[in-house]
Amino acid sequence: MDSFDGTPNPTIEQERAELDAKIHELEIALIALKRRRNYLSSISKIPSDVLRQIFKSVTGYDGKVQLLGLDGRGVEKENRLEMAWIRTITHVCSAWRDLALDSPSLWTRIRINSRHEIVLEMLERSRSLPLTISLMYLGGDLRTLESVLLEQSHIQRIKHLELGLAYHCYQWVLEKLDSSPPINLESCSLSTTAGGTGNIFSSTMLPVRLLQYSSDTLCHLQVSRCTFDFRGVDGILSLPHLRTLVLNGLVWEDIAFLDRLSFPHTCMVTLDGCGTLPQEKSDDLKRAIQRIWGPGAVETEHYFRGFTINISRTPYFSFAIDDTEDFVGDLVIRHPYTDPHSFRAWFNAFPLGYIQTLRIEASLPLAHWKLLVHYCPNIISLSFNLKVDKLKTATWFKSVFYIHDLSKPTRSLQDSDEGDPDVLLDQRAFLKLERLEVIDTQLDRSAQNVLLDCVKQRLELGIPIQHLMLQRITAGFLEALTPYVDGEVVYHSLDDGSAADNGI
Amino acid sequence: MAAPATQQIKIRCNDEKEFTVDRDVLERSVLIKNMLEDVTEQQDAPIPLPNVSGPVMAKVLEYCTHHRGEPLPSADTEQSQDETRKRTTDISEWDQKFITVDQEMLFEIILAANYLDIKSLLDVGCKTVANMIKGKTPEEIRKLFNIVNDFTPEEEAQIKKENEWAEDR
Repeated sequence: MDSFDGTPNPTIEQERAELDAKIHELEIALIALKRRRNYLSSISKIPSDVLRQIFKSVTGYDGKVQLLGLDGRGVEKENRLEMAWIRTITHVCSAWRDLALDSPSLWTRIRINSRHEIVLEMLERSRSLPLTISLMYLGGDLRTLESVLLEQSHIQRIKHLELGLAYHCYQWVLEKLDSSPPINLESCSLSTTAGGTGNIFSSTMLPVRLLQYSSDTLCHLQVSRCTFDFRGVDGILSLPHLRTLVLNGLVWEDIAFLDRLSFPHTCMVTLDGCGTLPQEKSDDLKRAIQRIWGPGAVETEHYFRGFTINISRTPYFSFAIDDTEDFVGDLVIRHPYTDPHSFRAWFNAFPLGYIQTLRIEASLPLAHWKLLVHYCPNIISLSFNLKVDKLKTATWFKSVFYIHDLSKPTRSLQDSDEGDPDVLLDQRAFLKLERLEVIDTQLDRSAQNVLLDCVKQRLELGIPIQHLMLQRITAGFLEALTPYVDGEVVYHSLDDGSAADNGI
Repeated sequence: MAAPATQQIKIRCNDEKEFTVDRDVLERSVLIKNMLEDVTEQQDAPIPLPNVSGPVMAKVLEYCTHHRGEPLPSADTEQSQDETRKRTTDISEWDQKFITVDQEMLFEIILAANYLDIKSLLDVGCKTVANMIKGKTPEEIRKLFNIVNDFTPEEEAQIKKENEWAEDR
């Protein structure tokens, strides 16, 4: 034992040291035993690369560059979620932690709003991989942002950048970036928390050098409630690789900056939540579109949320619309639009004549199908699932797929037509259809007979189906159908013979 | 007019269980597809699959049969969809029902999908495990997978520090 006056007793000291060493040895042995035990767990059989893929799913990042939100709501929640996935994959056991820390790709999406230490850790753990940097500035300490922007090697790694800043912060950021611009930027998403004047309804004017830094690499640009100041800049700024351009919440005066940009290879433009376009500005927009896509781009007129936009040959003009995926030459309908008037109004808003691929993932009444036939005459490929419909499959084929009278001219639709399938029956079927895919829909005998009549008829008329994909059909029906399809029939047979009759 | 592929292929699992399956179903597996392409002559001997047992293969074939005819992910699409595909945890309704199995079978399916190179099935398996662990505390995850805390004191100290980052916010 130690003496009362605190003088160390050499014998005791030695014994204590020996015991400490023994404890340490046992602790190491205990950890080794625990690791051996963990190795017996089923999940330990999963190879590292697969476990890494699981970790990526846990991070929940969907890979898209998105704005964080203009008022910063949800930032705290995001911080909590971020810490949750970090704890989930690095605080469970040593094998998981080692793998996660040795997987730089897990740490490349860095939210500057996170705590300073986390940002520094992520910068280190991501090693030299390209970064996605996102910042919603709410005021306060800027040292975290500074720690990224002051390090040239970090800036060069930024591939995707999303900024939601107040005007004065953009000035501060630009000052930092001027000495070492992000020259490898591929995606840039810019939004403002308030107008430069303090008026939340006006857009912030940003210096155009934000775009100039990465004009040679920029592929995706999203601008929300801000615009660019070209004063002092001569000529037109070329963005030769820009593929997508998204403009949110801008009024016409803000969009005018498009006149100073050249983006010849852009294939998708989205105007979302933009304000009403004054009629007198319509011609200006028309000219802008013509300048971008050539004089032939403007042929027809369509109306969308206060915008009058003239487009037809614009190759891939996309609109954000509630519950419907943006389309790029294809149209996907996921919302049932039970009201035929809104369905028709929706159609009137879009240049659907050039749509060739149509995929229906919603339950549509027959009247809506007939509207589709009317408004999308150039459909070549159609994919749909009738399982979710109350509509009978045979009725569908008879009404939409069967060609009733080719000699009869197509008549204009009247308002009164829309709820009346019988009136609409006269509308032509999809005459240019080459590919038909009927997903997860079982055909009863009656539907099989009608489908057979339809494909026979199309072959006789010289407009045969060249690709037909069916599921849940019998071998007998397949055999009857195949001679009338001028191409391939892909099918899934019925698992059990009781589900349908194979007689034709 | 192209008739559907109906060639039947035999496979043999590591427990000697054999299956005779339509070629297009089996070709959901890139491994088997490549094997079949390498064989020029028709052969009757079953393809040996030494890393997969019969019960697991039966599940894998159930998946492949349901998804037959769907386009296989090409190198290009894989590249373009890489970020979005791998980082979301959405699973279709049928796949969800299919993958509702006990933990042991789930991991066996993942291992088989990885070995047979069936990317979509591997993806479903990974997302399922991700969904199982999302939102759980480290202790809950240990309990779920029957593992124990095996950190060294140094690692524990670092973890404690990281937890403080969360608590300070």
